[in-house]
Amino acid sequence: MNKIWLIVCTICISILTIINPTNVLPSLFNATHHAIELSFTLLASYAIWLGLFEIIKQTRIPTIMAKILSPLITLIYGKNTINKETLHYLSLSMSSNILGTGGASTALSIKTIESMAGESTKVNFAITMFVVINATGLQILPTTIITLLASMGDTNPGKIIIPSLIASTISTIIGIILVKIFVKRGNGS
Amino acid sequence: MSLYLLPILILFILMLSIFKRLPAYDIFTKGASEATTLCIKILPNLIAIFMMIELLNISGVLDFFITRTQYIWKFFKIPNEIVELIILKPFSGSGSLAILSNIYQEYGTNSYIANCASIIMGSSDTLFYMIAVYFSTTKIKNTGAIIPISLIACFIGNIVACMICYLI
Repeated sequence: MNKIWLIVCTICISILTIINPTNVLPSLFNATHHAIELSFTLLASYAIWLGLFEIIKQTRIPTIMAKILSPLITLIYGKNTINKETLHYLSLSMSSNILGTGGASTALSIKTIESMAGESTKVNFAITMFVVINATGLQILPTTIITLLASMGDTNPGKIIIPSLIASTISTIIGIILVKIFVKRGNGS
Repeated sequence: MSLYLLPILILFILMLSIFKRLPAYDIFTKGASEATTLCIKILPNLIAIFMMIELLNISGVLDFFITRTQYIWKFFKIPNEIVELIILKPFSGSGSLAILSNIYQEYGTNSYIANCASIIMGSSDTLFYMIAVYFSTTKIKNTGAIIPISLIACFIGNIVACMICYLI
């Protein structure tokens, strides 16, 4: 991330200095403004979901979800790479991802990674696998796109569900295989 | 169906806490207070990412990149409008959504291009934004193999999406 950010920003700003120097600072302010706006939106949604999630944690739901999903988790992450607390977060985050509950799944994903990483400063096998799976889009209902299609007057916005599911399943499987080949499996903490 | 999903889910959680006699208010506020620290930790990362995206857009680097790599896309029978979407998607959710609605307006919602675009949008995620947010609460600085692997996997998924549309 460090390298990408530095290289991209340097190249862009040097080009802008030549072609459009007055635009550099205003556009940076503009971007920051957007970021702050977004963080307020996120705050609202995380507050709701983390609040509800705290209640869920007091019930037996995490244990039950973990039991249901554990064969799948073992298949993907291998045995003994994930401790019990992480397993609870992971299974809840997986279920909310599959349901496509936007804010909830992001909030839970952050919690999962926090728990997987602990105090370590390096990415491990489990984190890599988790982020790759999320990035390749394990979502059953692409709600945003369906809403947009419907608002544009499409009569059958549901038509994209199955093709998207096929495409994202294929990319997720490829992602899982690549991680299994290229990333060394350490013991999880 | 999905209309009722979230209200029922929330209702179910509240019912459970009645049933289990939990001090729901206390627990909820405790959880919600975590959101404030989370957002403060995320904000600097969001700002940095948004700066990079804005710079990419206004400096014309993105456009330059798209026109220079055209022959690759022609080979996979990916229309030009879609290329922009594929490249922008890992960086910016709102940006790619804007391109998507432009495509709908220009080509209608039922054309080959529109179908391709919808499926690509529906089957991939905004990688760089996601990584910035996900790692903001950890001490991890180097994300290792995550970015290349995700990009390759998403790219193959996008090509598959176009092929599916080509077949139907």
